[in-house]
Amino acid sequence: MKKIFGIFQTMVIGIALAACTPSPKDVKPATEDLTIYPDYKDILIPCNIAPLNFMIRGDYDAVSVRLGNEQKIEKRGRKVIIDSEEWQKLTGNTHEERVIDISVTARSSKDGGWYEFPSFTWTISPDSIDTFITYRLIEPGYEVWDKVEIEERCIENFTTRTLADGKRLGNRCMNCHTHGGDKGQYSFFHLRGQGGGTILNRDQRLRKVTLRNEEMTGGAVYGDFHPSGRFAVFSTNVIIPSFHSEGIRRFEVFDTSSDLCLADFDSSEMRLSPLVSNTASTLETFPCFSADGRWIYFCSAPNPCGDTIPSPYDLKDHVSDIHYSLYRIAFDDAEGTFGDEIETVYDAEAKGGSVNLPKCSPDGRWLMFSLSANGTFPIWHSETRLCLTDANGNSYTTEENGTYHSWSHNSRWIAFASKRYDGQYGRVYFAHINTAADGKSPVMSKPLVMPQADPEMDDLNLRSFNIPDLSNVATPIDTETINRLVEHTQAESFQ
Amino acid sequence: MKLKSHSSILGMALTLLAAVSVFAFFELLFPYTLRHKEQTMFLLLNDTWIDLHYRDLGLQKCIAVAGDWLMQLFYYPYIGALIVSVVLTTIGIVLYHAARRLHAPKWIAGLLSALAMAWESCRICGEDYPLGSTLQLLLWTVALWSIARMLQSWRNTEAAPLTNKRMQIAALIAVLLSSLTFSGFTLLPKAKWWSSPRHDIEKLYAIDSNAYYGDWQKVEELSYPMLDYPIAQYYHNLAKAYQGRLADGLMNQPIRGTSRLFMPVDKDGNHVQFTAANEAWWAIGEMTTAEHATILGMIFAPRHTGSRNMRRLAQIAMRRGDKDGSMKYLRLLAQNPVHSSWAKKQMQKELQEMTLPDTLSLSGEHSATLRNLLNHNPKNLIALDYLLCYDLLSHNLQGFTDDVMRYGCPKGHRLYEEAMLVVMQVNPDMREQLKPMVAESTYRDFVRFNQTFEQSKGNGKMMYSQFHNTYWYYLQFHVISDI
Repeated sequence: MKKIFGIFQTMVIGIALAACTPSPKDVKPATEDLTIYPDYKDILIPCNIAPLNFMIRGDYDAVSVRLGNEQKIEKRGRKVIIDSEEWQKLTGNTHEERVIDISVTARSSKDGGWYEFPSFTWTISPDSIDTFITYRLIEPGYEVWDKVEIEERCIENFTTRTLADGKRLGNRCMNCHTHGGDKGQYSFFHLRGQGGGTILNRDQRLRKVTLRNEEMTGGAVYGDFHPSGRFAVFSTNVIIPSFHSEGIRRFEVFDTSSDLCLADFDSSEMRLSPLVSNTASTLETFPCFSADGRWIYFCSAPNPCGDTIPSPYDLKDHVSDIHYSLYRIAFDDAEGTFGDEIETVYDAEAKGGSVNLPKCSPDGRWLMFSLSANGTFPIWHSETRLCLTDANGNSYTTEENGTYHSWSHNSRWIAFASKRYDGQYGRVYFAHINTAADGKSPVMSKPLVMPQADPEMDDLNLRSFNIPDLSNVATPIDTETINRLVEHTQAESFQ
Repeated sequence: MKLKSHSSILGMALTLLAAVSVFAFFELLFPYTLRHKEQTMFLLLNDTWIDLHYRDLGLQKCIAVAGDWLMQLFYYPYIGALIVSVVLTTIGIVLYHAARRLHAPKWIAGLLSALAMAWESCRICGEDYPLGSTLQLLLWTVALWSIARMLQSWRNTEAAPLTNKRMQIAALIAVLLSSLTFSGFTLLPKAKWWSSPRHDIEKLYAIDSNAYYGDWQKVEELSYPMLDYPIAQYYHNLAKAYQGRLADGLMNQPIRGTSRLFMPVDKDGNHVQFTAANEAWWAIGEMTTAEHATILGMIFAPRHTGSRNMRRLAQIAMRRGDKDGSMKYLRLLAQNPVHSSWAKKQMQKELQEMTLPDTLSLSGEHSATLRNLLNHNPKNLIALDYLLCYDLLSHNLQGFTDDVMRYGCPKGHRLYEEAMLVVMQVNPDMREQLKPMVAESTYRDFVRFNQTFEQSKGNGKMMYSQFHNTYWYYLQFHVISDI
């Protein structure tokens, strides 16, 4: 009797499941192109990334997807959600590139027929990407905010953690989180307003510091760690927001004054150089260290108004004429001092464009920067392209719109931000960097947007992912720690 | 039996009366307050959406979502008042029965219910107040009723019946227990304990909602008696600008300065500005500033969304030919049962291609923005009116003169004629160009103004009755710092 009941139960469940899970039948070849979001067609992916869930766009109400020869996903709706264990089987233990064929069959909600689309591929790279990424989530209110958070995401799954929450900090503004060191064990971010300061993390030791002394014209803004973690180089910028009248360009930011400075975290000192600090005739910004720590790369443009610091009204009409070139200056890490000569790496006057955000690959092979038509705020410039220079000074421009890039610690992957999808909301993309057959020029793979547990997340999200930064270690801060630091700790002042 | 049936008929009649009263209160006195709540919220019954927008609420999430789901139906006429009426009447009934079970006399139970309904009605009129909070109150009354019922059953079964004193203690325990039951749901953020229904705010909502529906004639009518309010003045001017009459009567308005032309979005300001601030820029045709104002309206809205602003963002993107930008919002709107059909219709529409020469302007640099629009399209009369009026309200006569010379001046508007007379007085070289644009009667009045000014030795109070609605008076007696 029990057995009969068991069989009956199995049959009922089986019938119910069969009724719920649509299976393709009478499949016809599709006459239209398959549009999926994110666009994961024919991409290279890191072996340790979270499942690449995606959805199909168009009038379809059920989908059947075959991943390689083994896995099959059949679902109602348009979303393809891949089980993490199955994903592990598919991507794990990859010692060499492996290609998986993805075939999609979908049921039309118009005529109920099943249509098969041409398959596409996922190539799994044996190169892994850093495990963690931090970014700032902010609504595109330009100079106004009400809900800003710095979040850390584990790239290997979908776990996220809030590091700092502006709402819980008296609605103050926070700049993005920047990592340093060979694993990302150093990091900092600036908290503005009363009780603020720079939150500095060096090997899990947290400090709140004021990176400014009397000689400096402003506080520290964009920065980068020296590989030793003892020093960091910063720019000080007087930032002016402004608005474009033309269609989709929307927003521009320019500096009326900017300089470089160096912070020594051991001696709590700020160091300046007459070549790059307090220079009214030039605008220096976006400094970074070379992988060996012997050079500081930075962008600089002549002040269009000469030797006087211009007012925003004077400068705004010249913004289209401001072109930042890429320079470098030696750094003596024993003394912690700037060198006495500036070398040109990329001459914007001669080659055109405006260089922003140089970042050296940890292996020292490449230096990546973004090149836009003009100015110093490339995220709103749709013409911005990611570029690479090699040790010999050869520059290579990619076709990819993006900026705020960050290198993975094995120098094989980058993360970057781009508003390419809808022009308004920034998203995080990953791309692989390799060397072409000639052994010299770089090859960048087709970027893939950071996968989400719900592939519809980017549609639903009304905040931008700002300045993504990769790291191999989790950041030892959370909202409670930050709240404590803000409320109960006096910022250490620097000389 | 007969008494009981009389009593239940009376109870039903009173309940019906309460329900109708609440319905009438909201539909006749505060319909736009409810409709505006819908305009500043947007909900999708989607796990990710709920997680993104309700994450901070913890346990309260379910009740907030349930409240917002009902609130989105406020879009339709009568439905908002009906929903509120049903919910509040249910609260009243449950509270009445709970009180009765706690041995309160009928009149006290009835009074308590009526007071609770009135109190909650007032709170619902609050700008930030979400319907989820009313649902919380409903749950609280249900908990109170359940505990009261439990206590009553103990009273009936125990050997020692509860005395009146014990019953009072039991009532107190019931209130405390039911409050504890919902300790996790005590009050949704931003839900205040008290709000006074304000008919003036309701009128501002009415003006704003009619702008949403595109009925500018009604906007002008409704805003006229409310000109003491900056938002009403802003809408009044915008309604007139649509008809080419912005300059008419501008000097009659009680509030001075340029804020009545362009409205800033202030987080702590009235909620009307969240939806209103973009309207002037939309009308003028400046999409970057319109988009910025719309996004700020969303950022400051209770859940950082808003169906009306999302619609506007989609429209802005469409107007400048940005398909990807418009689809961002249309896809979301298409998933919402209330806005789905509108969004799907928009998806079928042809995109416009609005191109402008690119210039940069700093925040609040309105003149530069307007001039750029006119450089591109000199026939943009709304932009021209706004520019000239902006010049005049900010005492910028040189800017006004330059703009008139460059873009022309709409004829037959007394304000512009008055300003031209001042320009001619200060700069006689301009006489030849400007004089043909000034009517003889305006010239005569200007002579009279100057004579009176001299006779009264510049006493503004003495001149007020005759000249307070002239630009000359505005220029002479309203210093820039006051405006």
